[in-house]
Amino acid sequence: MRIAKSERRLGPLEARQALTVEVDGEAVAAFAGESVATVLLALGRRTFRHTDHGAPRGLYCGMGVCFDCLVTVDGVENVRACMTPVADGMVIATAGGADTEGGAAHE
Amino acid sequence: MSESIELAVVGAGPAGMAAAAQAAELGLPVALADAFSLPGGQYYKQTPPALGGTPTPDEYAPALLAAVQGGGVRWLPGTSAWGLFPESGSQQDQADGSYLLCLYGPPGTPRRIKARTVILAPGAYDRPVPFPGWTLPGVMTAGAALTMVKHQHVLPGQRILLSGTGPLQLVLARHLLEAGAELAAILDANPFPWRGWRDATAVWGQWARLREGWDSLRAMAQARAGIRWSHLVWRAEGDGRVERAVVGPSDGSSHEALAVDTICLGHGFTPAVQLSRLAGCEHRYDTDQRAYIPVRDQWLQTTRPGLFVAGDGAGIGGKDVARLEGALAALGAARTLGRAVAPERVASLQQALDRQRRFAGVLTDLFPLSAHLADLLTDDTLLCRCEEITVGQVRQAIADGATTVSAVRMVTRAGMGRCQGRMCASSVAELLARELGQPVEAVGQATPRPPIVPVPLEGLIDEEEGA
Repeated sequence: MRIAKSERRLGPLEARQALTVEVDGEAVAAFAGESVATVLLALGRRTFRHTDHGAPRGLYCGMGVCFDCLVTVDGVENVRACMTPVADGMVIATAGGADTEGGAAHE
Repeated sequence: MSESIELAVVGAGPAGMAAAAQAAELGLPVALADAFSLPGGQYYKQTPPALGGTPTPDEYAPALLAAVQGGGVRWLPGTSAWGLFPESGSQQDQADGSYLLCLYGPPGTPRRIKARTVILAPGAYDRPVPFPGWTLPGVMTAGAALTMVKHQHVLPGQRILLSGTGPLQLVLARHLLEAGAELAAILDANPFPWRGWRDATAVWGQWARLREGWDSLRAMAQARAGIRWSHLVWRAEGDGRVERAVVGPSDGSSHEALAVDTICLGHGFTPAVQLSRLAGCEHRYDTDQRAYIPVRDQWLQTTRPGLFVAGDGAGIGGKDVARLEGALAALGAARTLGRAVAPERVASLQQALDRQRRFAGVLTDLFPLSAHLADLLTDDTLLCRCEEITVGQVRQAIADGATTVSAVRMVTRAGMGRCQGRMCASSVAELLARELGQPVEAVGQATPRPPIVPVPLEGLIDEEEGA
């Protein structure tokens, strides 16, 4: 399983309820209360999807207004990552490809 | 599933919560819907309990949150309001309710509410300010960054540029610094607010706010992250994500590239008027806020009887104005419903509102939307993020004869995407006005169409009617 680089998440993690979600086919650690956008940012993902013209897009407004952060969740397309709390076993698919910030750590 | 109720409130920020709490106190049956799963809106946003909950945002929030989640309010979390229509049909409709509110929420949520009165408390969103590269991943609003660091406990980036205006930038800067992020710079589009001393009487007594401002300045001084006044970010650059920000004075006299992975934009807020416009309320263009706002009477009632708007959705005033307006609108709704309303309560609310509005006016005055923002636009800058329409395409439409926002929308599709023009309508209107040499009011607005937020097809169907 891939654990996001710890310094992106703030505060002590021990007290949190650990979940496992799937991001683009890979098992990933998450925590209860986080949004899908948070899990992707913690992984170093910036690109959540590509537009019809192939332009990368990610988190912009963070409050459900702009519809830029759309991902596929449990087979449902065009779900706003910023408005969607993660759940254990959730299957998240981005159209962001392998775009990660230099060095999301593997453990 | 449809219900009838005396009062429906849309939006559970300070305005909507105060409206619902006041209505419950008067014994009015009231429903409160909000798209988020936790009440609070943006000003009173709660950290999810699983992430450790939240410190109390201010002295008024706990009682409002308790009232909303107590027994007196029909609380509808995770529920989007996608339509609002005045009922003009049969006599039975008239008797049942004056407005039809269309909702989409979790299973068990009513799809329709017939409400005799409605209070809209939709709040506001970060004002979109287009510039070259603003759609690159890593460019986000100050509001998004604040939510991530403060309520989701994740850093939105490592090396961050803040660009915008006003005190919210200082609050965000402090949270980012405390979380260990590196601030490349803080740009304020306006000059240092020397004029502020003239407003000392309006600020006098606002100790909590002054304290927060002082704490933020001290944190920034310790981190040596100074503010560059009269500066803007001119371009975001990078291969598939933000890698550089080109910044400089707002007069464009020089430019400098900063290596950053995140740019936070905080040029203030713009009211969410989609529902009030859909319901047919009259709006006027406010040249100070550069936004359309609903016309209201002293009870905060719109030009549609029984339909009220409270809080930032009627013009940016901040959380205290919103909270007081919510309570006042609830009294107005109670009066419309024939309930007795204590005149002294109304008078004390109006007095408190006057004071808070003066303070909000000072902020708008000191940190206006910079006139230089228009200079950022190049022909290849995207205006409409959804349909990927550039400034150049809109200029071409204008050259071809388009003179209104509606005409530009029809020709270019700008404003027809999922956000329904929330990200581009004001930019398109201002561009039209500049190119045509006319006031913004002259180029009109695009007609709002339901659903005002995307709803799955099955969500549009009232299950009872469909059965």
